[in-house]
Amino acid sequence: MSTFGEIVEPVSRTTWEDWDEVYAEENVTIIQWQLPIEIPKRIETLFILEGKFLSDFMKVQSRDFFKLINSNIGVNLHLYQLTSSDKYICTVKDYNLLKSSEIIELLKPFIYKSEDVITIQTKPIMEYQTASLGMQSWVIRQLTTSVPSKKTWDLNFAKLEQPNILSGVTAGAICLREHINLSATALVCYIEHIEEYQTNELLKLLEKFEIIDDTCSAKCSGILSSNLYI
Amino acid sequence: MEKNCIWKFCDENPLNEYTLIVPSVAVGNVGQLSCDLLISSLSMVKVASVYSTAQIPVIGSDPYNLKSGCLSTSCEIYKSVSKRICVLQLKSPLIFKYAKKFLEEIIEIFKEKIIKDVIILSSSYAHEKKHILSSPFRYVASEGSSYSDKIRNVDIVKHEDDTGELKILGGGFASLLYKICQESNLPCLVLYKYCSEGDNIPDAYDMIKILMTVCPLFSEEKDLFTQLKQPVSWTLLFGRPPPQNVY
Repeated sequence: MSTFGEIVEPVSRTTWEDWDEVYAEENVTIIQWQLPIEIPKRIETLFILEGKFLSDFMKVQSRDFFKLINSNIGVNLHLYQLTSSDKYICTVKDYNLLKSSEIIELLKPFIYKSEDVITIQTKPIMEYQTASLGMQSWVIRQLTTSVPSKKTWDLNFAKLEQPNILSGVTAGAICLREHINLSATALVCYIEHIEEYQTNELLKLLEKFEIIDDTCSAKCSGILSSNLYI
Repeated sequence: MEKNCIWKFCDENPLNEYTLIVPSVAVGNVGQLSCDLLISSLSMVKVASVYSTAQIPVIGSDPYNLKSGCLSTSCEIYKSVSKRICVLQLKSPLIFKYAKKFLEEIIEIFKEKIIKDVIILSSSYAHEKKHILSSPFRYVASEGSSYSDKIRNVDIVKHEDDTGELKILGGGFASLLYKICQESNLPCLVLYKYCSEGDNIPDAYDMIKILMTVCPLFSEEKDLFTQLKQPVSWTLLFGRPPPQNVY
């Protein structure tokens, strides 16, 4: 609680830079991969999975199915390749929102090269703005670029309605694809708790995109939903 | 000048004698809310969008039309042919270290499009207002601004400047863009309002009223506020209704 006369900035503005102070960072830093990286000749689909649940879920999956090819620990970014195909998966979580466009610069060659880009992110259900009075435990919405995907992913989710917006790395990837006239789809899953009955839909999505198979979803470790350890 | 942004134009026509209105991301987002009101009320048409590393990426559905299937992004440009104005609407703040190059490119592109001048809409912290009884609005007009005479006749105060360099506390990139316009010899007017964070919709209405005194965009015969149309994206601006099962 604030004291009388104290000027309190809304939480939504805490990430913004203070333009009135001279100490604002002016140096341009470049986020880099930890290992040397070669841009593949063909990328069928680039999946960008954002959020703690999706990042941690990918981490605990079997390495037989996909392999970790590069990372940037500073922004919790990991790049995987599905062993059986030309699909790449990028996971990102807990990064500074101000670094979003720099992360996109790092992913740019992949975003340009990929035939299709699909982003999935999780957000708390309380952030979902709707006039509907009913309370749902999960909601999935989508946004697509003006150039439609050549692939028929059979996604029948409703469009993300105003005033809901997406920001960060996933938004950056979609925005970039829109500006270079290539297809991309953003999926956002608003969920309340990371409990199995709510993540079922999310796992079905990952199965649909062939990121995991039905055996993988069973390995959704209890650690993910546990709050025993940080 | 090397281009750092990716521009996507849907209308390549020149913008001769147009005025470019730019909101500075500042206290209470007053500039952006005012631009939302302009775009919605004047049924302005999108002419371009810009992708830049200088902005936090944002995407959403068209904020002005529920039926539209178009994707809305962080930086979009709208125009009104009848009013000869262009609005560069921003949906997210600029990143300080990239801002200068981004704004220089914006001004260069619009100079190529032969715009007449620039109006920057901004805001400053209410607690920075020194003269309590004066108007909450301040203005700064660069040399050659066609609005200088008009604005002097309005009951708003000229920005007080002690340092020789424009500084608007809480005003975001307004002073930087003003400086770039001056360096590019493009006439520029800055309008800002002292306000606090909260429900800043009334501030946006007030801003349009002041803007009207220098740039008559709406009919003077009718009440201004009845001519302003809030965009659909303002619905649920303060959250959704409480869920029924809490009762």
